[in-house]
Amino acid sequence: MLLQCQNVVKTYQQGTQEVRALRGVSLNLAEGEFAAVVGPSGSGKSTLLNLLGCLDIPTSGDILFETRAITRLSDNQRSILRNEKIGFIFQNFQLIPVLSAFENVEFALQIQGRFSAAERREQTQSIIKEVGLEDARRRRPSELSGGQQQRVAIARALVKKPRLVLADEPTANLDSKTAEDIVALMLRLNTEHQTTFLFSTHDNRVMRYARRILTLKDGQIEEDHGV
Amino acid sequence: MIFKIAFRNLFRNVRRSLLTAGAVWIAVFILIFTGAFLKGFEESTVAVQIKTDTGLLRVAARNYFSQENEWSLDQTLKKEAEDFLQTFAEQFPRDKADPRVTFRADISDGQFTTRVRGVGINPDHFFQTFKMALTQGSLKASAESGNIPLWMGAALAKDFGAKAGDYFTLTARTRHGSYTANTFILQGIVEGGNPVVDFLSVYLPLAEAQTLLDMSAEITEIVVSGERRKKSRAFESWAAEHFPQLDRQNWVEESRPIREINTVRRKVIRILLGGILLIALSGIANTMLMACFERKKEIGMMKALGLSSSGLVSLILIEGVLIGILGAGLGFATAWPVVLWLEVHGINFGRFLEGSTSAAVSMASQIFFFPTAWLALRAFLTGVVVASLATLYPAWKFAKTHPLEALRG
Repeated sequence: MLLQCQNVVKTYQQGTQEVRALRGVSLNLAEGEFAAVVGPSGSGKSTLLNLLGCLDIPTSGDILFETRAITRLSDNQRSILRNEKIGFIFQNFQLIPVLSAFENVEFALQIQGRFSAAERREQTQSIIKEVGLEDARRRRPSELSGGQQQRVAIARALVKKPRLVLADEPTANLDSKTAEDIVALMLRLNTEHQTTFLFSTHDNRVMRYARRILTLKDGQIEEDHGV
Repeated sequence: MIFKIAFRNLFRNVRRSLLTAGAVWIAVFILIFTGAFLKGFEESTVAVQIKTDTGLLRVAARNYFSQENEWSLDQTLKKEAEDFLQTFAEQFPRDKADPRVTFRADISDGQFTTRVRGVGINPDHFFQTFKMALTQGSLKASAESGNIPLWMGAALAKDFGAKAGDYFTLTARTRHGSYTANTFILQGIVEGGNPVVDFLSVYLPLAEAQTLLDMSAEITEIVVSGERRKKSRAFESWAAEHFPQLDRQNWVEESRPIREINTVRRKVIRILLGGILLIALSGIANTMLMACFERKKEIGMMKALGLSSSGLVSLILIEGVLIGILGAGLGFATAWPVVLWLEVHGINFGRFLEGSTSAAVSMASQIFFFPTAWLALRAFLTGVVVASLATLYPAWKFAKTHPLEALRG
């Protein structure tokens, strides 16, 4: 099992009020899954993804990543785990505006610091080709369409060959046609690379690509079913 | 890649980058300008003092220098002076030694009287050794029959409204203490750029001075001049070996008061410069902080991808260093031609000194800047270091920001 989530609770302090974003979520995520987390705004989708991505730690409960309890890791260890095992795709793409598409992807490998310059270029070139951005690789984010930017973000997430890719509303800023293309691309990459994908969405057209749908409501998993 | 991002970040908001670099620019410009000025101030003042008055070494009777300010004529040289001048000419044929009588006197044009420093010299020899500009009259001692020639500093002549050919009366005390006076004709007006010369000195033939002061063939000092300052050591050791009974004072000792005053000036200016650098530092820190706030989500993304805190600190620091290099480079590029020009042409402070002789004594009227490679390098590095230090706080602050908090913006 790649990920095990056991009775995870996350509460935030908002002023004097305590907000319970997740109320005892338990789930397992196997290698190679292509799963969607759905639910209305405020249901806890982003909170769950942040916890699974080691960006945050639960108030109670355990999250095991490849049997390692992330709650027992230091900030630095979680940073290394993210660096080596987890890819992120953000709603607003979050590309570095001063770098070209190619450089944005290569940067993820550079952070890892495990590859030579030649290896980095080769791997970047390969993933850029896979996401269909060969012609746009020299362009900066401002010169790319939303769909192209998200392809760059996907390439950046996948170039370091992570075990898990987390995508928070990856299609929210895209038109429906582009959104479908992006999810189809993610699905293809999931199939080809056997990389586990977990993405949040509230778009029904995107949802239908998922092989497993987790429905969150009021911080709890209301439904968990395969498609 | 970190360097590439930092470099390109400079162009994200060019105006802001330039404004930030501008603080370093101004600081480096001021550092180079004031540094070259202060060094030039000292060098010009010392150079003009050597060139127009003290030479490289002065030799006098025992205890003369310790009582010089009392204008005593008790410690004089006669036989030793003759021996010194003769053997010096044999030992150093290319260098010069001038016998001199220096005394306190009052000079009057019949209407006004003022206190001056009288100097008895061998005019033909003295004016060849000490390069002073003749603004009026002649440097030749051949005055009209019956008249004793006198040369006067330009500023003093201006105070009197004097011109060549005017008559002056010089009143002094002989070496025995009795009053003495004589009338002289103004043979020439000289300008040395040295306030001691220009404001305070009158020159008369040595023999006339000795007669006036009842000094027979005695002198008060010998002034030794050479082409290079380094030679003063050779002169001094030679004099110490051959004339150990005489006192010596080299140009370094002569210029000590100037350097001490300059040290005080330098300290005051350093405090002011420290203030300017602090203002620049806080300005840069503030701007970098704003830039980081604007890129908070980007920083969050980098941290989410696993960029270490040290990597993030490096990114922001490199940006600060680049801004420092840009600002320091601009500061150098603009200040250097200015100080090089002023090294050749100088700034004439003469007109600011008019009427304030006491304040003027410690400086040359024409200050030539003295830029050095070390000064430029030090100013440049200071600019870069200030910009880097200013970036440390934003770098540290954002390096410890939680990625999730940063991603929320």
